[in-house]
Amino acid sequence: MGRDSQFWSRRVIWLALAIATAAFLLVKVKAVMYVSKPARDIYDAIEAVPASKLIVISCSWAPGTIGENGPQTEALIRHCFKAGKRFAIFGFVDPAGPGLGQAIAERCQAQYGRRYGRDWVNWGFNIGGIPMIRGWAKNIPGTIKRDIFRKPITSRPVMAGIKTVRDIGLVIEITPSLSLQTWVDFIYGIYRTPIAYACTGVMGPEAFPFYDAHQIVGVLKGLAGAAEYEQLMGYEGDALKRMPAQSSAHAVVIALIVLGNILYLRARRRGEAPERRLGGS
Amino acid sequence: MRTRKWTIVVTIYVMGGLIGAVAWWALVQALSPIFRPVEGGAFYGAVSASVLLWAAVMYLLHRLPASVKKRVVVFMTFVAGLFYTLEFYLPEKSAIFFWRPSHTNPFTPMLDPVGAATSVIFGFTFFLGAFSLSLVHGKHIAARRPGYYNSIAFFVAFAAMAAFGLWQAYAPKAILVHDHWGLRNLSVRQVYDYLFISTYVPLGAALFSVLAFYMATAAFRAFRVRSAEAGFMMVAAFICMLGQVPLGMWVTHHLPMTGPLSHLRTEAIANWILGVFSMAGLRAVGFGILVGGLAMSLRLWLNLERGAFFEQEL
Repeated sequence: MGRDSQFWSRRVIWLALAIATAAFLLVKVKAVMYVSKPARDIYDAIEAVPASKLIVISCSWAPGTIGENGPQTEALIRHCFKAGKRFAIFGFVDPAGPGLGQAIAERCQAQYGRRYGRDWVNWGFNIGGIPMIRGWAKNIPGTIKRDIFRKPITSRPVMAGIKTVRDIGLVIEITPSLSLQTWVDFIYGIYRTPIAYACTGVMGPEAFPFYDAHQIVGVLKGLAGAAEYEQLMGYEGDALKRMPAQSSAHAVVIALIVLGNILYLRARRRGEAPERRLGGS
Repeated sequence: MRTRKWTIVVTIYVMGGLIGAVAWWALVQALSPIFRPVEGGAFYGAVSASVLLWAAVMYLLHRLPASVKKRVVVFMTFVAGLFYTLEFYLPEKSAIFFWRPSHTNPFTPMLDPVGAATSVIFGFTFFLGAFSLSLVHGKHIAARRPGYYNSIAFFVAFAAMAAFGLWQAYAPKAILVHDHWGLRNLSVRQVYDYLFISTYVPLGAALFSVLAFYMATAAFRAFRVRSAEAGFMMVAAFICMLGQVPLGMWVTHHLPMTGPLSHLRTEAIANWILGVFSMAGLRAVGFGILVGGLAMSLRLWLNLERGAFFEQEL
């Protein structure tokens, strides 16, 4: 391929992808999702949390992955609001995470008649990594101390009776990274507190060994996971709206791979491309 | 000779570690009265005293000869690692802690102050990051290097986010503009929201979404079926991609949701590939990473690591 053709082929590919994505964002198409077992398991785990315990929604994501982690966070927060489960937003990986979770929860709470401090709380971003999580497990008020508005967390009614990790019914880690490992090693591994994982699409496969070993109760994989959850919850949010656009982008990528291989085989037949390289593709 | 040398090394480590751990425990017990929340003037006094103490300790450390500095780092690393190891592996409650009335692990109550100290150290890493970025961009501007205006943009963005972030945190109801320039009751919180929610969030998302365009180009140019393995990988990738989106689910939607035929649905095959083949490979990789990580941790903890930093003069 010459330099000119490479230059133009790139631009054509970008344009095709942009059109394929934008067209399905502008035209309303109803997406119907098959709800996978890992997603349903998270739903059941939230439903099973007793009223005496708190759910921790760990927002370990930044604006870069808002396209996937945003709808996941919203679907999970809506479920907690709808089911009347007490929850705390928390962050220990990215400083922006709890603020983004706060914005989502504030936007949704009125619809369910919920209030900050009484039904939910935001513990904010806490630095310290693994040592902090280990201390947190044994003494939540002593480690977190103040919420995002710098009020002592013990002064919030939602925190009544919440002292250690034994008072936590479920930890949901929402992240584009493998921060799940910290929860599995130091929280599930020691205290057997149920852990759920909502990750970006590319991180999904890495969660399956944990899920298969019952170290985590369920997995939400990327935007598709969020769409499955929205379907379970019975509302059409951002994820279900964006799924047709994602489908069409996937179709373009598949078409490009097929086209690329056709061109490659044609070039090979003409003797312009190498036959086989060691190590596959 | 070699065995004797190792016996001496291990004995020094064990004895030094135990003495260090006991000394640390005694130190924390002695200092525990000062690990109490303070408010108002006492708080600022404590912060000032801590900064002065820290400056004095850093000055003294810098005055030490390089070989002693290295030993201090090695000792601190070992004692810190030993503390968490002992706290983790020793039981929560046992008769071996006979000198404690509750027979509980004596290291557990120290998790809080040690965790607070760790958080402070982590806080310094943020400061170090900001300092390093400022230094790099400051040099760009001073030398008028090509694209130096991007460095100016960095300083403007950094200052704006830091100023409005702190301002809205400490005075959330403060009004920035009462009635000027066509703006009425513009609050600090609104400006911060504009900077964070309306600027930083979309910019971050846009930056990440650019990846999709590069992935599409890479798929066209690099994903070639040059061998049978590559062919298998491509088929698996197709099924997994289709299994995640409604388009793929629609392809096999006429198949029942339950019963033997349901296993032929795209999403079922995709989940099977992820849950069986992919998982086996990931487990193997995971084992390798964790064993390597364990070995690396031990090498760092026991000062066995050799390399660019570890052999460098401090």
